[in-house]
Amino acid sequence: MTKSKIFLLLLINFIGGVFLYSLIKIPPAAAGGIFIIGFFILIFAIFKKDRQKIIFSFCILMMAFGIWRSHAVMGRFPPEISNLKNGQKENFSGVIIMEPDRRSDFTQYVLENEHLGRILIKTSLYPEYFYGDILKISGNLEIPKSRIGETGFDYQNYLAKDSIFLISRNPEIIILNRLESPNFYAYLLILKKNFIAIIDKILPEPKSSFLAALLVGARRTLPDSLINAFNVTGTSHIVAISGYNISIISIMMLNFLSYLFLPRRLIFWIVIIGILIFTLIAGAGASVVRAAIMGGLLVLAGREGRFYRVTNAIVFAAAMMLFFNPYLLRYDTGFQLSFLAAFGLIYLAPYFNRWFAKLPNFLSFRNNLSATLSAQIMTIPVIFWEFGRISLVATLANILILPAIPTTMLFGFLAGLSGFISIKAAEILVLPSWFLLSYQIFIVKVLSIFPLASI
Amino acid sequence: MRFNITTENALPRIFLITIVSVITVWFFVFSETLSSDLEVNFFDVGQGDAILIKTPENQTMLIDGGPNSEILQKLGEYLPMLSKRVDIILLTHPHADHVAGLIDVLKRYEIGTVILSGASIKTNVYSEFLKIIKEKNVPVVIAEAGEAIHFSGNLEFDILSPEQTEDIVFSKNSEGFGSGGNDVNNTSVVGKLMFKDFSILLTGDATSKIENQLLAYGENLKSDILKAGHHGSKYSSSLSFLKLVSPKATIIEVGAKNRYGHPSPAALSRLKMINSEIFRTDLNGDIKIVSDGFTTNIYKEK
Repeated sequence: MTKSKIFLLLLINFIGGVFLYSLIKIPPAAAGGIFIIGFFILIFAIFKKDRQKIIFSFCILMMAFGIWRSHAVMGRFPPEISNLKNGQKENFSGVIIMEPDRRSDFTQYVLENEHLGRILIKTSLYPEYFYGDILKISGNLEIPKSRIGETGFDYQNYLAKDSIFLISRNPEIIILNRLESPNFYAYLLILKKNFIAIIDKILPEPKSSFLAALLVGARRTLPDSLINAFNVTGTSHIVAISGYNISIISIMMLNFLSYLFLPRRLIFWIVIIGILIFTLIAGAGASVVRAAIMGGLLVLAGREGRFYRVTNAIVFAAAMMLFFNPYLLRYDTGFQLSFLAAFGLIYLAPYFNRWFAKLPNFLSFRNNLSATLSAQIMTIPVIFWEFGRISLVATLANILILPAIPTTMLFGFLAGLSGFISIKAAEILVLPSWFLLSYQIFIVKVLSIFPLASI
Repeated sequence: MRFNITTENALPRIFLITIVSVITVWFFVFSETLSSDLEVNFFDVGQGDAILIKTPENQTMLIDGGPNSEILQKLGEYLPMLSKRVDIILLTHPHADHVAGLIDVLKRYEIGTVILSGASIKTNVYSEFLKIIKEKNVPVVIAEAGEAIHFSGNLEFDILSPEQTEDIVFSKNSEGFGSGGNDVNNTSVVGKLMFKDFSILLTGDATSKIENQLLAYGENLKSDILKAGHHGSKYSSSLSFLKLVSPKATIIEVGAKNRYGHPSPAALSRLKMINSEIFRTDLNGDIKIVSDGFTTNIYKEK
């Protein structure tokens, strides 16, 4: 057994431990038991000098470590919360520590208070508060409820993944203090907000929301009818920033730039810089950074021309992310889709490429076809579990739409940047994007009204 | 796969792709058709008003913006492709179900002028609206009875109400329903749009108190189409007013399953009494009225 295989095996066992804990809440005593068993096997194996058994015992230890780490993170609640009654009226102050989430008729802020931890505040759109503001809140506090039976949506754990354990709806808000000079993160968020404002100025709805979603993952303002059409046609991943999205788009860019016969090293750097800028403009939130790491690894693999070489790096990235946040494995769809899509692109795409060898490769059509097919096949189980349906037109929709996305993003991005200098220039630069967005919306709308588009 | 081919081959391809995309884009930009009709669109934006007027000379006027950002979708759909300008925004009165959507419109569109009734209300939404008008330096005109907007020789919008409302400031409690709310409603800008032989009366949320004052206009009130006051509430659309206006068709801007019970059975039965055909945004979706000044067609979405 090679060293890299052993490394992979250990990582997989750690992930397995996290997975076990997320399924059945194993008490710490049992984890301790597993640890002790592993430890004894290890001593026994060292004594016997049996290499296989040493590896086996380390696997068990890693699994116990995964369970212990999950328990340490997922079993933790801020102590004050257990003393709270549901619906109790509270006065507290806190700092807005995440980007405000502005929807079409309400806003959500995440506030951090030293005793209560993170609290989700749902309130009206105006007046606007910003990252870094210190607010005084008086209102009811409730513990989020999971309605697993009704909708299958585990709201409590969904919020817990970002360490949020309390909600306050429509409380009274008084602003106490505002950041005088923005720090780096606040500055990024201002940049993002201004960038979106430019897109909003140069394109009419729903194209502006669509482009903003593609470029910075701000999908909150997309109209329901369009979101539904994306879901039915299996294309909603393009407007949700995830590793899935970044990977596919990076691969598309690789394919497209290769098709133009640009030098390979240049292509690699173009895509990597693209991912970096994308991450910064998208506000560099935790999920975006995770996605960018995934996308970056795949591009690296693409440069080598051998995708399978990066398997270890990708699994290692996954294990590290789970070490910091074990909730991701079960409660973050984006995380699941990212890794499944990556493995699809690594292991399945080469087969598809061989099967489709006879198809023309116009505008890297053939490569895109195999990339989307392989990513989709791998993600079917999660998508079915999460959305309860499988789209029958997904492959067709994706093949028609995805090739247009890198160009849409490129011109949209250039337009957004030039908008900081001149809105008129941005209006002209955005025209190719406008045309492609119209085309994509048209395709999605047409395919979504097919009977049996999804089951 | 190997990529040893030089960049010589790349240039023609890049060139071709650029040319093709530029041609297609320009084709779409110039394929806009011009029409010589007046178009009045009543949008289905939920419980609130939003009306877009497009004149034969391609001027645009938006009357109210509804309760949320839904209006942006409507403008994207109904304004000419790529257009990011609205010439006139008219806010009938500062209640949230009329002003909230306008905040987004102000942020995103180039606006010629904003017309307001003089009355102001101390709510977060309305303050935000005023703040953005100030930030963007949009010219503001206060509407008063007797004024008129002349779009062209034969198309004008006459303002019939309110009389002097400047400097009236309502408290936060005047938001919404109830007697306080009706005071704000009565500051609504009421106007009549006239195009050759065609006319349409837009009453904002004015109640029968204002309708009674309007009776003084006599025969001049007569209109082909009426936008019923206050989402068809029972406090508006009084019988004497309806008889004088005698609209062939009445539009009610109302949200499906709204909590106020609009439109009220009382108002609906009065409309039936005068034999006016009723169109409702909750049942019919967006309602589009197209007129060449003599013949008028009403199109409904559902």
